[in-house]
Amino acid sequence: MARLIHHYLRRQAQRRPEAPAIAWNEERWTFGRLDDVTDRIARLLCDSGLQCGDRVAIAAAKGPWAIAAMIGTLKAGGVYVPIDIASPAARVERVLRSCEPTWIVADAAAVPMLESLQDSLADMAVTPRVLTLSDAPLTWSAGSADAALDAVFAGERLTQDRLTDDTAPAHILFTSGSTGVPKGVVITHRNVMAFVDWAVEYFAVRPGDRVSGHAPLHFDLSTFDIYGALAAGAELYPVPPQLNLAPQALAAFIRRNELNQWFSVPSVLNLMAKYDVVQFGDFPALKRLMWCGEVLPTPTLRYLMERLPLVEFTNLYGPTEATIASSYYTVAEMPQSDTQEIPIGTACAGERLLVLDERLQPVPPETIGDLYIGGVGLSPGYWRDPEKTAAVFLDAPDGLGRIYKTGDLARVGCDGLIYFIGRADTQIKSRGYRIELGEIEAALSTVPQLKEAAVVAIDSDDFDGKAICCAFAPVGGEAVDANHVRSALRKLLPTYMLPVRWARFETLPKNANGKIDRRALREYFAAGCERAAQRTV
Amino acid sequence: MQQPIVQRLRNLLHEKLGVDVPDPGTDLFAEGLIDSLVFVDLVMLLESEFGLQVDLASVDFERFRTLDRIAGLLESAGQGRDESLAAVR
Repeated sequence: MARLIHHYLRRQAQRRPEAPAIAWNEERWTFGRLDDVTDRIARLLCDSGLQCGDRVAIAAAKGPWAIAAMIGTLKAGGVYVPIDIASPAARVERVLRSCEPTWIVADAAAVPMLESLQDSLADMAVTPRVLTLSDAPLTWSAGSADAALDAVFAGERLTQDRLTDDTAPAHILFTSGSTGVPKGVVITHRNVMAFVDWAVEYFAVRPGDRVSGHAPLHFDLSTFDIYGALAAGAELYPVPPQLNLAPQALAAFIRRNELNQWFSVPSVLNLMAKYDVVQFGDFPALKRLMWCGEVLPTPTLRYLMERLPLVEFTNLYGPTEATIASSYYTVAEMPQSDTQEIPIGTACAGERLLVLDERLQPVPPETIGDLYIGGVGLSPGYWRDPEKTAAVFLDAPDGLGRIYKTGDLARVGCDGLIYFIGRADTQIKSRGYRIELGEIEAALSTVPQLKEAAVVAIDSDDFDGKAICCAFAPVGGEAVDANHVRSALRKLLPTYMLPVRWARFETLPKNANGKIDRRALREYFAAGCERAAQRTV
Repeated sequence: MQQPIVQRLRNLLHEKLGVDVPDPGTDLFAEGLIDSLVFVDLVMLLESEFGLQVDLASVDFERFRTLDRIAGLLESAGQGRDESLAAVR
């Protein structure tokens, strides 16, 4: 019998039904309740005709109900697609059109956006039905059988598995695409469980441990938070997103809830260090702190290690395409200087990392090459995009399965550990989000008042990571300023993709080939930053 | 009498934080104008300019969502004792 992600929950519900599973503000969900509610959601989906492999879009704010909708979908044999409800309706529409869900599970926060999309989605082959996580169903379209929570609770439980194969997709995560269209990464039950099984054992996550849920649910780090907690019988503390506004509030959250585990992108840790909100010997319950998504600056790591001497610090690395993380490095001792590099380490169990040259041959130690990943975490590919899939999922040169070309550059050190060098293309990481600058430029090209525009990323300072900068030139005579361009982009892109620095030109600088001179633009913005040291919107 | 405070807030955000707020009712968070990189600076600015005391560890973020709300917060905090606020009004 296949092992499936939701079996983690079933096991906890059988063993410890009264133990806490999720803590959300004043709410406490036990494993028993989570199992019951997700069985009922699954039953409702199945009774409505959901077939194995059908997509269910989850358009709900972070919290126990969104998590229940995800697990309910898995139990029904469906594939969930978490929607970033903070992103503009136009982007949500592209995701929905691509994944063609038969159901959308929505909470009250998402209803206005869905209603605004109702007309533009009317021509989809299948009009999705909407399950509202509140008492009132949404009147999505005349005659469709929408449902609300009362129907969930009035129905029966589904306790039989419908899937028989752990290579079935569990979810599709949409990430930034360089041509302006988000691309969906398909992740299977086996992909997730391979990492979760390894990580729960390696990090020794225990029943009753209190673990953070910092990442947004559409971000693949959250799958470790959620399913790692379920696998171990730990209690998940999803972090309310607004706490990100103030590192003091995040530190207070860790302290007050006596968290044993913290896992986030580095930018959050950078802010904690920048505003010096961690005391010496702070967070006495904290046992381990992990980060993933981008490079943690060594000064931040030293800041934390000095103040939290009993905590274990682990750097995790890996793209969504290889599921959560593929390599790890637990910091053995305090880095001696602020410039010491922190390796991404070695492959997690069942994974492999290869540093290869352009002929797919291994490069010698201390030589920079392209980083490839193979093994149990590897996604089957991009959703309905065999071309893109074939371009980056390749056969390994040694015949040992498939490998994924990450687009990252790396080297193998003399110590046998792998070191991340940077990107081989224009993808950047900003606050942990993976952003294709091309997606921003594609959005800029739709602004009619612009003659030309380009986006570059520069290092802002030790703590803020990359800053996205936009140079634009309006069509002659147009009175267009940065605010205007920003408002136009705001309708197309999530806020984390919006440029923070702007410059207006008559014509953008060109290099000898007549192409936009991005290096000149980077230098221009970098110089400007030194002068202003603040945003120039 | 909120207009002068709102206008002063707008100018401050423009000058000190490089953030242009289109409208006093604009949702600063949803529009991405104020994010984690700016929020603490904003609060420190309110402290230095208006004498507002905020405990960031237990702050109610909703009260900072729009310029109107921040102005209301400054008004209510200023009623009575704080001289710097009285001067603003």
